[in-house]
Amino acid sequence: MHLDWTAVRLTLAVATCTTAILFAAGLPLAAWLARPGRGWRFLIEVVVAMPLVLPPTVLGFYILWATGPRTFVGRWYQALFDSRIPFTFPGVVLASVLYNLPFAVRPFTAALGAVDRRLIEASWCLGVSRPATFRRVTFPLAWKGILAGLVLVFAHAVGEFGVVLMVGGNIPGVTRTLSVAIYEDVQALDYASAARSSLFLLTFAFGIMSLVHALQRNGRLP
Amino acid sequence: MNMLVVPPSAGPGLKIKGETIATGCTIISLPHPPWPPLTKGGRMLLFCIAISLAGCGDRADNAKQQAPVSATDGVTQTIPEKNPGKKPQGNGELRIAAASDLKFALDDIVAAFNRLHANAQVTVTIGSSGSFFAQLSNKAPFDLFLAADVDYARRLVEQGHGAPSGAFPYARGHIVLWSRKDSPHDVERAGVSMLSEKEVKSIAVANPKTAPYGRAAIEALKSLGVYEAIQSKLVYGDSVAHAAQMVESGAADLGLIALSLALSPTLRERGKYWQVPADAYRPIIQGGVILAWAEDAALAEEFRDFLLSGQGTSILKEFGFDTPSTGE
Amino acid sequence: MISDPGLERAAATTPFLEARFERKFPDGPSIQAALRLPVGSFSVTALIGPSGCGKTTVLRCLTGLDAPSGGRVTWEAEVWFDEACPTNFSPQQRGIGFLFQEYALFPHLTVSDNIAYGLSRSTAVETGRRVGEMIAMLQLAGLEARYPHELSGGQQQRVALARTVAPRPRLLLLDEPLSALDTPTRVELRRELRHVLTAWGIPTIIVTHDPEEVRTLADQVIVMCDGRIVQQGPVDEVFGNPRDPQVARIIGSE
Repeated sequence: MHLDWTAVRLTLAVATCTTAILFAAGLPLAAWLARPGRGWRFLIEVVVAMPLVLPPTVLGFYILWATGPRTFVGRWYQALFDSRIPFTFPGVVLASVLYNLPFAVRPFTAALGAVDRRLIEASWCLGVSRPATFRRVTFPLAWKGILAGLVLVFAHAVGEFGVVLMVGGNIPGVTRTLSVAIYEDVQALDYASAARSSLFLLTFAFGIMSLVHALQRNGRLP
Repeated sequence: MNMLVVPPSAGPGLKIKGETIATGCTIISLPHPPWPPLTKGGRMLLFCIAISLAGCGDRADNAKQQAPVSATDGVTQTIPEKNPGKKPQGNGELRIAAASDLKFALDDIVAAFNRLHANAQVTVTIGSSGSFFAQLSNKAPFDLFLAADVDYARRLVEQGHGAPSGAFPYARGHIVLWSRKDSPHDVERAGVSMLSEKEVKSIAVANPKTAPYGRAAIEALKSLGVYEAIQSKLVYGDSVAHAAQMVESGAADLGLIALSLALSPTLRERGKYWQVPADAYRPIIQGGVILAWAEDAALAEEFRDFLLSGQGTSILKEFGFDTPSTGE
Repeated sequence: MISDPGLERAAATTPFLEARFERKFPDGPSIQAALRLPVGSFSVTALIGPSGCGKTTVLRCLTGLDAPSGGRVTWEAEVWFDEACPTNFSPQQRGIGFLFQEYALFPHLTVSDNIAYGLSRSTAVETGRRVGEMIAMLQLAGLEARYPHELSGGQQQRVALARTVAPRPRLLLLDEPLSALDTPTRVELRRELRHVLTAWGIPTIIVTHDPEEVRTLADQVIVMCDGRIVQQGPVDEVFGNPRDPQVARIIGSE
């Protein structure tokens, strides 16, 4: 089947990077948010939740505006990596990470918060440090919810369109993900190509959800 | 004999016993149905159901009219139609789908037109010609299409979607190499060689697959011999307006955009440009067509005539458009 | 404050857990505690009082799970908490064994793994031996591979106790260890508990609201009411001479 494999690989690369980054950065943030505590914490929660209601084009616009080559962030990035943020693969990943932040942090926070606090305290009283407690008690008890969040992020990032279009510049092989390619095909009246790409995405989505479902049923995910 | 009053409906028309009832205020006599005559209550109920169905058709159609049908950077300028139900011919409304390079020129033209036709309600939606073409091929609800390439207009006529008056060219556009005023890249002096400079990392163009200005830009780059060298720097905007926005926001260093946009009120003071030699690309002949399903065809024709008149062309000239050469 | 001559005599040679602190709550009365317990040798102190009088809070402040609003807690020469310094040792640093009221067994670990949980600093061999010891002592043989939800209430309590004691804490705090059990189990375990506590020899504080438990398990008793310690001393003494009707009620009926 003649499929736009470049776009497919690029899409999977963006989604994988996004998921990995949100796992590494989102989990600590979620752990902090899940602790019982001070009232102003909710402000952070609100900021994290904003991409849920913000139109993706707005987010894309602000990312362009804040990271262009003439901005402080842009110049700092240029100095470090000799490259730019808009219209590059890292730029698209950044946009995807920001847009998917709530899809990761909120399930993580819920899963971590659902762990009985007394279990954590019991672990402390048995002489186990906080990081080790997270590793031995909190995470094992919360990991199904965390995995659900990761799957959601991955699937969402595969389909991401608005932000990628704004920040990506639709460059083949660099920022032209499958969703953008489909959009372009439709506009150019190449319905056959659009249909092939769409079918691939549909099959992929179905496959990944079935896999997760089957793993949960088999008990391989305890 | 049963009588059924059919209110005006913008829907596909009520079908009763396989007969499409004509829309418009009509009282229709139906042959006696094979089932036993309905009671008074039963007839009332059927009447109410019929009214609601007709109303549903209206609402669905209105929803389609009010939802944005433009491409991603579409800008709908005036209030959408509110009144449910189709008005009789000549409703005083004109829905224009216009290529994005026309945005500012069209603002002035519509304002001038409204001074002459105070009752006309003109709505303009901006987008890339290619996207509009795709939508209009599927009968999107516009009355007049002003494309950046007369070719799109002609193809719509070939498809049978154009009014009998056919496609008409209305302007010739030009492309320029544009940069922000505060940019270190001096396009005015360096011209095309600016593109190959190392400091220029990204050059915005409209997507050549869907925007005539994009196609022209790529053509120009190829004929000027720089395409191979700078191809990796190109970033593609959805339309030429999107490409302009990419440069204007500072995200891209330079852009190949429409002259009309460079001369617009928003960009004029903010940037500098170099006009790409006209022989580097095939002339961009912009053309339009009134659509076969235009609701107020007379008004559409008046607008077209105004556009092609002395007043219209002088406004277009202010924005850098030339008159289309004859014979096209 | 303690004014027991017997204890005063012992003070000269015995190390103490001394705590004088206050814990304020935004909506309600504060809890004040002043206690001084000899910890060089084995003793069981019961902390008794009606529900809501602050017993669990006192334990949590001693453990380091909650920080008092003010005061000072020391163990021998170690300062665990001092608002002036300020110092606040974490639970990990205090070496206290705390048994939660509902046991807080780790649902994803087997009985053996639960008991071994606090032994991460030991070698595998040592851990195995210690776990075996605990299982034998608390009659949990045969249950090693079970998960907490597969155990009865009494079995869970014993696993929780084993887990708490396995790391050899220097102080044992038991928060109502028997209240979640039905009466026959409670009576049976009361006797067993006294037996194992004596065998381990770890200074213990037990929170309870049951005077029978105090009589069976404890040597010393501290009576609390409405966030204040109202009487403390050896069990016979306090039970024989309640200071006021309030104390009498707490130790008599309930």
